Formats: sequence, C-alpha cells, structure tokens
Amino acid sequence: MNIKMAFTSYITEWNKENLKNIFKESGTEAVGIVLMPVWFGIAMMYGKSNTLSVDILIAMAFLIPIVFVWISQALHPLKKNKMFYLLPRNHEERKIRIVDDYLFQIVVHMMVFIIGDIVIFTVGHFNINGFMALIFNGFVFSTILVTDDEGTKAFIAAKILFTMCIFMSLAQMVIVSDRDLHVVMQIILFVMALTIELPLYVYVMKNIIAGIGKAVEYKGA
Amino acid sequence: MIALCDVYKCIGKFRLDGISITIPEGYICGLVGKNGSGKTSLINLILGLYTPDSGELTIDEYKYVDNEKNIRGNLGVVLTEELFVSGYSLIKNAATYGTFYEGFDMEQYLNLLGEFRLSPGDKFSQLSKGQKLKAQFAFALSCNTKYLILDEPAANFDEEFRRQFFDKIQRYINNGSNSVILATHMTEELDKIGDFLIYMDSGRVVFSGDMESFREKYRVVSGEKYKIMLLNKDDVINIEEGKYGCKALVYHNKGTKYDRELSVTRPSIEEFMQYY
Repeated sequence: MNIKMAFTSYITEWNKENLKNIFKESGTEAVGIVLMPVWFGIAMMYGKSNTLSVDILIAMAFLIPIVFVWISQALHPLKKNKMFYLLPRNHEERKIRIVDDYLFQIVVHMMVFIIGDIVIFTVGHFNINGFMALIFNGFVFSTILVTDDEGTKAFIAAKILFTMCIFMSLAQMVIVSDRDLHVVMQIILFVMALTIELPLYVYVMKNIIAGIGKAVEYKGA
Repeated sequence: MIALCDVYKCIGKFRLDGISITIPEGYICGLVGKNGSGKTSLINLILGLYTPDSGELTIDEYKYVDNEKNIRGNLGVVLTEELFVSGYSLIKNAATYGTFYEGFDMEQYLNLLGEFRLSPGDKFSQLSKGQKLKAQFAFALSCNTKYLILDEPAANFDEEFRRQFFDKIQRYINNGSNSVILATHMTEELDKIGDFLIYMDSGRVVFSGDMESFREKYRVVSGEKYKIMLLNKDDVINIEEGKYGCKALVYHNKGTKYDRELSVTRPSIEEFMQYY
C-alpha cells in the first residue's frame, strides 16, 4: 500500500465544501447522527440525578467515533471524482488505488474506535467480552459502505447493518458501564451478533466487493 | 488520429447511433449540435469514460482495452465540470495531477496562470467558474498532450479571454500533429478557426468532414415559396417559411443550377444549426 498517497487521498476529502455537501445530501440523517452525542449528553445530565462525569465521558468515547466514522464514510465513497478516471492510469492501477484508499480508511476508523474503547474501559469497568464485542462492532461499522442506490436491497441491508451496529454497541456500552457482569444479556447479544449481524455483514461485504469492481470504471461506462 | 467505427452506446434512454468518424491530426475539430444531440456523450466515449456497446474506437491505433494508459497520457481535457480538488491551491492541484503526465511542464503552467491573471496560490474553490476553467485550460495545455479535448469551456469566458483562448488553441495545433476537439455553441468563432466539423443531431452524426467539404455540401436557398417548392425534393433537408418567402437548407450537388430569382448562399454553422 502506498501510505503517503492513501493518506493524501483520505485527507483531501475532509474539506468544507464536501462536508457541506454531505449535510445537504443526507439531510436529517446527518443532523441526527452529528447531534447524537449532544442529545445523549443532555439526556444523561438531566435524565439521571446521579450522573457522573465518568458516564458522560464513556458516552462520548462511544458516540464520537460513530459520528466521525459516519462522516468519514460519507466523504469517502468508493466512486471517485471524474478526474480520477481521466488520469493516465490503467484498470489495475485504478483498482489498487481504490482498494488502498478503502483499506486506509478502515485503518483510520479502527484507530478511532480503539481509542474510544480504550477510554471506555479505562474509566469504566473492564470486561473482556464487552471489549471484544465493541471491537467487533467497531470493525463492522468501519468497513461497511453504502454502495448502491437508495431503495435497492444492498442499500437497505447496509442501512440496517449501520443501525444494528449502533444498537449492539450501545447495549454493550450500557453493560460495561455497570459494575455487574450481565452475563445473560451478553449471551443474548452474542447470539444476535452471530445469527443476524454476521450474515448481514457477509451480504453487505459481498456488495462492497462488487462495488469496488464497479468503482474502477467511470459510472455508466 | 481518432477513429470511431460504427459505434453504438446507450446511456439511459439516450443512444449514440452508429457513429463513424475519423478526426485527423493537426486539425481544430468543432463538435457542434443542439442541446442533447450527443456531443458530451461522444466526448465521454473519446475520453474512455464510456465503453462502446458495439463498434470500435481507436486513438492513434491504440484501443482503450489494452492501451488505456498510453491513450490517456495523450489527452488533455477541459470539461465544464470541476476536475481539480476544490480545497487545493492551483499549484498544488497541478503538482498532484501533473505527475501523471509525462509531458507536464510546471514552468509553462505557472507562466500560463500569469498570462490568465491567476495566482498559483489561489484556492480552486475560491475562483469564479470562468477562472476555474482558465486554470484547467492552463493545466491541460501544460500537459503537452497530443490531443486537447474541450467541452464547452468558451461560453464561460469573458470576451477578452475568449480571444486569447482561441489564439492558444490555434497555436497548439501549429506543430501539425496536435489536434483539438472543441464542443461548442460558439459557431461564429468555429467558422473562423475550425478546420474540421462534426455536426450531431439526436445521437447521430449528420456531418463529419473538413470545413471546405461542409461549405461545398450545403446551400441555403431563399426566395418565393413556389420556387423553393420546385427544388429537387431529395436535396431539400428542411424548409422554413417566413412572412415574405421561404428559406431551405439543401444538399448542393456540383453543377446544380438554381433559379436566378433565388438567393443561394453557403451556410454558416449557425445557419446550418438553425435550418437543420
């Protein structure tokens, strides 16, 4: 992997115009996701009389990576801008560039999730099952991308998986923020991950791999 | 030489229909037609952004399938869409993309920016549409490619720069081997500087050839309606009736004699577009 190129390509997309565009295109979904930590923080502060700053820190360490990764994914679709397809490169070189960019993006997302998880378990109660579950959900969240048009099966599957990832991580976070182990709850979550999340993930990943193949050529080619 | 042989391509409901053209080297080739006639689709085919459903496209005898990189290395492009990274300065954009082109000359690029009154440090996103196109035009020229493909950039230029633009593309072909393909609605300029014309209508090529052949092939005949109606029907392309008479666009055959009372002129591209 050409790390310098992947880094440049990744960082280039983080600019004001692109951020404005994703908020324009995603509308309420974008606002909802970005405001999630704020709502959550307010709810924690006013919903529970004995909320500790530790609880808020855990919530932020959980939510901020989700928001960051969501924005990052919206800024870095597999399909590139027109210039990418006009440059003197062949099919193979374009494919390598797209795969490298995608892998680099996953590495960045995982780093953000791992930092969040470290904060959660440093200030919360360490629990290996919870840690593994959060890492797994972080990985799933980091890798999924919406590759198809709105309304298609692939689009719906990716959206369901996004939502499921947030739900599963949220449940884990609630568990690990408590002193008790909640073994039954963790078993239920584990079974859900194995029977619903994992098959859905395999389906979405197949679409992403197909999406990489399509992204190598200009749309409508 | 760019050659398309019996190329078909469906893009949604639109279809490029049996395109067969040969664009020779050393020419300024005007690509003309009404909106939706297929000019941009044809350009996308030439740029390899679209793959033909059938037929063959070759550029200097190379095909995209096995020589994509070589072909693209010879195509300088200016499209109305923004091709540069919006958050980068003009110099950073050129440094990023210029490395892909063997012939890219940074000094030439900086000189051209100066000529076009642009500063290398200007952020691309902060430029006006016309300035953005100027910057992309400067980059395309500095890549020193064999072909320059321009999709309607001149409409966004001010009068002063438009002259400079046409002057630049005329100089670009001076070496005899470079060619320019210019999709435009500015037919008046094309009448002056164009060597070759491709006229498109509804996805088909209506005319493709040098300007001399174009001027020889068609005539605009105007006069009284009954006299226009006496013209050979096979030669008449279109008739437009006015308040005081008629105008017809006709195929002109060598030796054809027209009624003395009819006015017969060679059509400009503008007139051809109007009456076709």
